Amino acid sequence: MSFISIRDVRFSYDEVAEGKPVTYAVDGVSLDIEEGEFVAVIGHNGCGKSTLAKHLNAMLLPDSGKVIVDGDDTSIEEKTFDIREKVGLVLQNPDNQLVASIVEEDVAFGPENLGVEPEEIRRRVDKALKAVDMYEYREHAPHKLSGGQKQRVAIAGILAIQPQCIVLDEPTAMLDPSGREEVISTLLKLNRDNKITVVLITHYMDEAVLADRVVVMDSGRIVTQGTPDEVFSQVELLKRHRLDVPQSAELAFRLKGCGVKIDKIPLTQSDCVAALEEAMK
Amino acid sequence: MVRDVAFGQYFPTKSVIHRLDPRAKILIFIAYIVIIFCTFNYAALAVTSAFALLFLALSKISPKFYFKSLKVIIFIVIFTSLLNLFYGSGDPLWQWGILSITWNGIHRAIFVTVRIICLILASSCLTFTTSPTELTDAIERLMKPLKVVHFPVHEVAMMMSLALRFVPTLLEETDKIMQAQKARGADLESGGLIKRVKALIPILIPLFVSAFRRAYDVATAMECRCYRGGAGRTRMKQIHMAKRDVFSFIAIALVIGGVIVCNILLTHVI
Repeated sequence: MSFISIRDVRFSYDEVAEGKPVTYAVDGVSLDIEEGEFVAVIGHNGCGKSTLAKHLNAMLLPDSGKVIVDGDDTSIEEKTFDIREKVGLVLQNPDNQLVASIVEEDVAFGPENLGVEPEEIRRRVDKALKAVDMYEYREHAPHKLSGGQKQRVAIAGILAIQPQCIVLDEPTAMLDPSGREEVISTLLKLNRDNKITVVLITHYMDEAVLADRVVVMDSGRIVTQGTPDEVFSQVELLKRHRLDVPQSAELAFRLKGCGVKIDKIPLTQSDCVAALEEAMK
Repeated sequence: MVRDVAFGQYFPTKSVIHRLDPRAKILIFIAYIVIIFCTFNYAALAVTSAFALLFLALSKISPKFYFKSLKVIIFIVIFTSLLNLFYGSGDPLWQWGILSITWNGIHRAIFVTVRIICLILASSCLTFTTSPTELTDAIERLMKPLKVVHFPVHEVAMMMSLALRFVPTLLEETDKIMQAQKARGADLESGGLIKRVKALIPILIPLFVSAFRRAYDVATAMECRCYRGGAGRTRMKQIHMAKRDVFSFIAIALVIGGVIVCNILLTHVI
């Protein structure tokens, strides 16, 4: 069985009342996430991707359907904190996730809540801060850090809980390009070196390209999923769901429409250059 | 602009004062406030001021920052010392209408000035050398006995530490909102008192709205990090009483003793 399995989940923010039509934020989603995977979930604003993210660590419970995390149903109340220990959620605004006035004390917040021994907390905090390259900043005040640094501290705060999976809800939406780069490379490193499962909710296609698997959502449903190559070659489908494709894919797609011979839609700049070179021969 | 407030900041210079147990610091601070208002002659006043200066010197923090925190209250100091100057009893040295200055008034003015300055310096020393987390942790421990009467000690301490954490963030936000409103033509700097207070409304409303939104986000983030109240919680930084804390208690005891002796042996000037 997969690490997280989502079975036909429906969720609505509306009060369910007789005779009133209910709009579902998540409308019948089934998805499996394997251990060690890097999954990107994309979709335009309001497609239900953030709502889905909050289901993964029992912040929200499905109206119908089930979310099973490592064998435990999220709707069982006694398991809530076990699940939050296994699946950490990083939110969009880094400012609002940091609860202490000093970086290392903030990172310690999670393990402190779990009742971990002081020496062990210290060890975990140092390890988490080193994993996100923020160890030198451990005694700084969070409000003096840049956006990317704050978000990395927030990730360290989740890492210190030692989860098997990190879910990130648009962690780069409020960051500048260099901050985005810092956060994404940190995530790739954690996934590769620490074997942490990563679920990245994003609306930046260039980030989604780096994942093992891309899930596309619209109106609370999964539209398509597959490897980045499979997903981003369906340029028309993505456009229909008001999504962009990576710039190089867009270029190749338009050229193809004009009759240029390109077999495979390239996703990165270097692939694109290679494909164009091939086509010009 | 609103951001450079020195009062309430923390400077990690790692001095001996920093390493004192925060509980000891708070207790000494409270004792100090009491004793500073129990000084009735210049010798006693000198003893208490010397104690404050000793702590300041040991804190290894640039005097610049202490001056900055004094600057904020300079008007209060001038105002209260003037009030006291004209309030004294005894033979007037100088008189103009109902205003009169007496020796007693001069003494009072000097005392109140020195007392307020010492008070601000001591509280600055406390906040400069103690991180907000240490401070709230210490308050939580000191208030622990109140749990018997079902006082929510942990919750209060957590609220305090969150409030302290968000002071700079909200100040920054206030700045941003002020600039945004100015860009829309809001006039914040002219007019009388009432007009200026009214001009604050378009700043306060967005600030409140965003503070509530933030609070919701912070609560979500805390829940995501397995926060479930104070029960079963541990702390990374343990606080222990050490020899230096005993020395600091001895120091404050000497000051208290000194003030009492001065008060008994020497004549009171106020």
